[in-house]
Amino acid sequence: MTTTKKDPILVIIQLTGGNDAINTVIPYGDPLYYDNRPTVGVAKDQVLPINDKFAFNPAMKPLKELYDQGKVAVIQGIGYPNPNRSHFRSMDIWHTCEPDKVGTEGWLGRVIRDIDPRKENVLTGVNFGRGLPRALAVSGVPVASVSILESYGVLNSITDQTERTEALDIFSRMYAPTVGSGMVLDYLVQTGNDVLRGADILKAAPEKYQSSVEYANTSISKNLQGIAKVLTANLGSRIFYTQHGGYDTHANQGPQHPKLWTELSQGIADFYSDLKEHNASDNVVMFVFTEFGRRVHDNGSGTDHGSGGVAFAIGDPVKGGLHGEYPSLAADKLLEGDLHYTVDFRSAHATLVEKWLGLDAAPVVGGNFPQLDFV
Amino acid sequence: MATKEELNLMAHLIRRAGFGAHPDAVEAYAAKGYGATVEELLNPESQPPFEDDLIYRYVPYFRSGTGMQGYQAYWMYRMISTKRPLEEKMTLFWHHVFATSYTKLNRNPQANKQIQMFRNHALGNFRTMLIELSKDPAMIFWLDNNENRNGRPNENYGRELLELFSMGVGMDGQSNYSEDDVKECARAFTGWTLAPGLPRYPYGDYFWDFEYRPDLHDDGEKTFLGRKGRFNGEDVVDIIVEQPSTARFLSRHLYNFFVADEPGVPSWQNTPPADPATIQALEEEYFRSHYDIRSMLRVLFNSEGFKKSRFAKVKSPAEMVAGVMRLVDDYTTPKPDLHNIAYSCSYMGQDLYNPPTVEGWHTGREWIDSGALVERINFAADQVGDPDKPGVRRLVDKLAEMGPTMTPEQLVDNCLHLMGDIHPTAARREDLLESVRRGGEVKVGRTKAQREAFAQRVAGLLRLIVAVPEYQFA
Amino acid sequence: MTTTVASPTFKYYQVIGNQSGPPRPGFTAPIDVALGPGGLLHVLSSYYEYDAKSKFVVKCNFNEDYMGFFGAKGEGDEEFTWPNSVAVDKSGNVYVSDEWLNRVTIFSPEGKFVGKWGVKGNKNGQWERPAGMVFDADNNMLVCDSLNHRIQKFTKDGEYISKFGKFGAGHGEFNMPWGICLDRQSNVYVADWRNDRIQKFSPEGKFMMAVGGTGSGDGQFNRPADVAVDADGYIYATDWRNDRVQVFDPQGRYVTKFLGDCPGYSKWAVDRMASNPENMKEQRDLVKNFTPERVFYQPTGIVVDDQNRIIVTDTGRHRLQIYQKQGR
Repeated sequence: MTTTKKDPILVIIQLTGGNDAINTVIPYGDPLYYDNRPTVGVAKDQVLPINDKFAFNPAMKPLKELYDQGKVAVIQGIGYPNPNRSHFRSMDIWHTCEPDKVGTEGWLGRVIRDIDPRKENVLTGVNFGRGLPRALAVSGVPVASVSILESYGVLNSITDQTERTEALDIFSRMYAPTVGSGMVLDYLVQTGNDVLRGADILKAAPEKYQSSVEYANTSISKNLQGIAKVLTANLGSRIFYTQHGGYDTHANQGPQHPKLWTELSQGIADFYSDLKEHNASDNVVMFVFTEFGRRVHDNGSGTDHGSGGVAFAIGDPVKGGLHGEYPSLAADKLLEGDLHYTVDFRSAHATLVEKWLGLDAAPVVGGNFPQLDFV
Repeated sequence: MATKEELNLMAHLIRRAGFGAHPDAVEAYAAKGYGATVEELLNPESQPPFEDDLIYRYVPYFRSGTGMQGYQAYWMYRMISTKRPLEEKMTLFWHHVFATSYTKLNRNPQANKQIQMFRNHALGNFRTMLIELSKDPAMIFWLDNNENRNGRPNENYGRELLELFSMGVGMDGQSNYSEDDVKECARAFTGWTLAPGLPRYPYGDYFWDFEYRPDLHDDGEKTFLGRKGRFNGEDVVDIIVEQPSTARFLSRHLYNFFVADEPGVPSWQNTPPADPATIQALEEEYFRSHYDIRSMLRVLFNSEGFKKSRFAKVKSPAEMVAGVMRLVDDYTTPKPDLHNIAYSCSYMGQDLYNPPTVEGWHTGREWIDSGALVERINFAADQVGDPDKPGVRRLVDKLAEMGPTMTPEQLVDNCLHLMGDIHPTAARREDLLESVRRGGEVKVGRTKAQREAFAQRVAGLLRLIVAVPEYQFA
Repeated sequence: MTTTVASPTFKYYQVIGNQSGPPRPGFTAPIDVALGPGGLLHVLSSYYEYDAKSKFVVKCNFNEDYMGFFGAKGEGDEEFTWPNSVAVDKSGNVYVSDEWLNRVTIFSPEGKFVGKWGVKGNKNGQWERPAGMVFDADNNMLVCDSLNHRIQKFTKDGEYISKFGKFGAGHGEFNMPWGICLDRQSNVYVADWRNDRIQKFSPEGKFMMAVGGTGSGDGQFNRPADVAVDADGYIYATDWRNDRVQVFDPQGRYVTKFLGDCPGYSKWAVDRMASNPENMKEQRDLVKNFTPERVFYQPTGIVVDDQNRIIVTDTGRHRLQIYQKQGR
C-alpha cells in the first residue's frame, strides 16, 4: 500500500462482566472511598497517582506509563440514563445505543456498512472471539469472526494438514459461486465463498508477521496479537473487536481484579509497542469499555452490579488525560448505592465515529450527543 | 419394508415436526406409516414423558439454578433427547412467536418457567394460550404490563398482543385494527400485574406471581374492534380469537415455521401467502376446531403442500444443533457439559431465551451470515466426522451391510439417503464423488483395522456432506 | 408391661449458609452433608458445570465459622464432575463419590488429596455411578451402586467385601438407590430413589421394611434422595421432588413432615448483604408472601447428629435448614 494518508482504525476491547471503575481509577484522595471499601479498597501507598485525587490501580503500571506519555484518555463517569444492572441488557444497550427500547443493529455494524457499503472487503470488520457480538451485527454486513487466526475458516478441526487441504479443495468447489439455483441457496453459496476468501486473505497475515514483542500467554494478549497480525498485514480491516472476561467480581475481588488488569494493561502495552515497531500506531485508536461499574460499597469480598463506569481511549491520535467528571461518592449523590453517570456513552461513541473515523455519527449512535475532545 | 420414498417423506416429517432423527429411528417411524406417525406426534402424551428426575439428579441446577447457561443447556437437552419431538418443537415455535428475552427480565428461572408454560399448552387451545400468555410474569415484565394501570396506561403489551401475538397489523392490504383498538386493548389489561417479589440475595431467585389488581384496573366501557362493553383482558382475548385475521396470522406463522420460509411478518399485510390453499385449509380448521392447535397441525402435516415442501426452509440453529446431535446419538442421555452444545446454538445466532427483540428471530436466509455459516458447518462436521459417536458408528455398520465393496456412487448416494435424502446439485454430487475417488477403492474390509479405516473414510465423507450448501436446509 | 411413648415434637433450629462460592462463606447448591469428628459439618456443593468454582466441599460449624473449602469442577484428582455424596471416616478423612468419574476421592482432614479408587463395571467390587456412602462401626464403607441397583460393602481402601440387592421394585430390590445410612444397631436404610420408598435391611442385608410409595400424600414420595435415622430409630427422608422432609417412627409409620421454616437470614447472609441493606429492605417491605423464602426447594442430603439435630441441605436455596427433635 502506498497511500500517503492511512485510514483510521478502531480497536474495541470489551471488558465483560462489569469492570469496577472505582478500583480502576481510584479516588484515593476521597475519604469516602475508604469508608465504602473496607474490604476491597486499595491502600494509599499502593496506588499509582494521577494527581492528588485520582490514581490508577497498582496493577495498571504499563497503562500508567502510556498515560504519562499522553497516550491514554480516561473517560470518567461514563454511563447512560436509568442504568440497567443486568449484564446482558446493559451490554446490549452499549452495543445498540438503544437504552429505551430493544434494538437489533449494532453500532459498529452500522460503521462497517458506512465504511464499505458495497461489501468490497469481507474483512472490513474482524472480531476475535466466537459468534458475533451484537455491536457488530447488522443484517447483510459481513464480519469475520476469528477464534484462532491460524486455523480460521471451515473444517478447522481436521488436524491432518493434507486431509484438511483436500477437504478445503472439495469445499471450495462446492461453494463456487452460482446463480439460478434459488435466491437463498445462491446467497448461502456466496456467503461460504466470502468465508473462503476471508480465510485465504487472513492466512497471509501470520505468515508475514514478524515482531520482537513477546506477548504474554493470556487470552487477551493472544487476541491482541492476532489483531496486530491482521492489522500490520494491511488487509484493509478498519474495525477490530475483542473481549476480556471475568470482571464480574462479586467475590474475591482482592486478588481477582488486579490480576485482570495486570493481564489487560500488559496486553495493551505490548500491542501498542508492536504497532509502533511496525510503524502502524499513528492511525489506531483503542477503546476499552465495560457494561457497567460496580456498587460503591463493597460486600465484604467483592462488589455487586452498579452503574457509572470508566472507559479508556488509547493510542497516538488520542489526547491523553482525564476527560469528563468523576461522579461523587457522597451518599446523597448516589443512585440506589451506585455512581451517577456524568458522560453518556453515546458521546464517546459519537466522538469515535465522527472525529476519528470521519463518518456521520447521528445515524450510528441514534441521535446527537455532544462530542468529547479525546481525539 | 418401507420404500425409499416413504423413508424420505418420513425423514422430512421428522425434520419438521421434530428435530430430525437417526436413520434407524426414521425406519422405525416409517414402519408405523405416515398417518400413524403424525397421530403419534400430535399426541405426545402417548409417548414416554421426558425424564426430568434423571437429569436433575446429575445436574441439579437445571431445576433450581440461577444462571441462564443452565436453562439453555437444559432446553437443548430436551430437544436432543425427547421422545415427544412435536411437543418440544411447538414449544420452540411459541418462543419464536411470543419472543421474550431474559436479558431485560434478569430472572432466569422465570424465563424458563415461561417456556414450561409454552410446553404445557404447546398443542392446546389458542384462546387458553393467549390468556396464559397475558398472565405470564415474564411476559408482563418484558412488555411492561406491570406499569399498565387505570388512568396511566402502558400500551406496550396491548399493542404487541395485537400486532405480534395474534392478529398482525393487516392482511390482504387492509389494516386489522386501529390505534384506538390498541389503546382500548391496553385499557382492558390494566391491573394485570405482578405481586412484589423477594430479592435474589441471599438465597437465590424466586418466581414472580401473577396478580390481578382490581384497584389498578380500568373498569370503564371500551370499544374494541367495533364492540362495546366494560371489557377485561379475557373479553378482549375472546374477541381477538374470533377474528379472521387471527386465523390468518396463526396459519401463516405455522406455515412459515413448519412448511416453507415466508417473507418477514411486517410484510404480511401486503404480501399474500405463497400457498393460499394450505393457508385457507388451516384457517378453516382453526374455526372448525374452536382454535385448537393440534387440529390445525393435523391438517398441516397431512396437506400436499407440506409433503412437497422438502428443503424449503433454512434450518434454525436449534434445529441444526439438535438435529446433528440426534443423528450422532450423543447427549441423548445425561452427560456432563451440555452447556457446550447449547453454546454452539448461540454462536450460530440463536441464543435461546434471548431473541433479539419482541419480533423474535428473523428466519430463513437471515440465519446465515459468514460467522454463523462457519459455526454451522464446523459444528456439524466435527460431530459427524467422529466415527466414535454411537450414531455415526451405527451408520457405518449399516453401510457395511451393503456389501464388501462399493462404487463411489453407491457410497455417496447411500450416505446422502441415510442422512435424510439430501439432494446436492449434480455438480456438487460430482465434487463428493471426486473426494471419494481420490481415496481409492471403497472396501469395507473384515479385520478390525480395515473396518476402522472404512469408518474413518465414511466419517470423512459425512463431514463433507454436512458441508454441502443443501445441508443447511430442512 | 407397657410403656407409653409420647410422639416426639420438632422445632425449627437454625439456618446456615447463603448463595456464595469460595472463598466467600456460602454454598452453591449443597447436595449432601456429613458430620466429622467434633460435630464438624462437611457440606458438598454441586452447581454449574460451566464455572469451575462451583463444585466443592465446605467445612464449617454450627456457629457458622467458615473453616475452609476444597475441590473444583473437573476430572483431576482434586476435582469433581458429578459429585453425589460426602462421608467422613473416624480419622476425619473426607470421601466424595462421583457418579460421572465412577470413583471415590479421599481428602485428608485438611482437605488435601489423599487418594481415589473405583472401577466402572458390574462385577463384584465394580460399580456404575456410585452414590450414597456410609461408614459402619468397623470403618467399612457401604455404597449405593446406583446403576447396578445394589449396595456394596468395601474396606475404606476399596477392597470388596459383600453386596446385596438387584434391579426391581420388589422387596430388597432397587431402582437407582441414592442415599444410605445406618442406625445404632447397624441396620441399613436406603433411599430407593426411583421406587419412591425407603427400605430397611439388617446389617447382613436382609430385607426388613419398606416405607413410602409414589405420590405426594403424607407418607408417599416423589424421588426420595437421602435418609437419616436418630438414636431412637426415627427415620427422616428428603422427599426431593415434593420439596419436603418426612418423618417416620421406628415402625415406619408416618409421623410428620417439614416443609421448611427458614425465618430469615443466616449469619453469612447478613454479611453478604451488607453492601446494600437499604435496597434489600425496601424490596422485602413490599413483599406480602414470605413462604417461598422459608420453604425447602429441592432438599437433597440429610443427617442427624448426636444431639438430635436434623440437618437438611436445602439445595435450591443454598443453605442448610436444621430442625431439633424435642423430648421423647
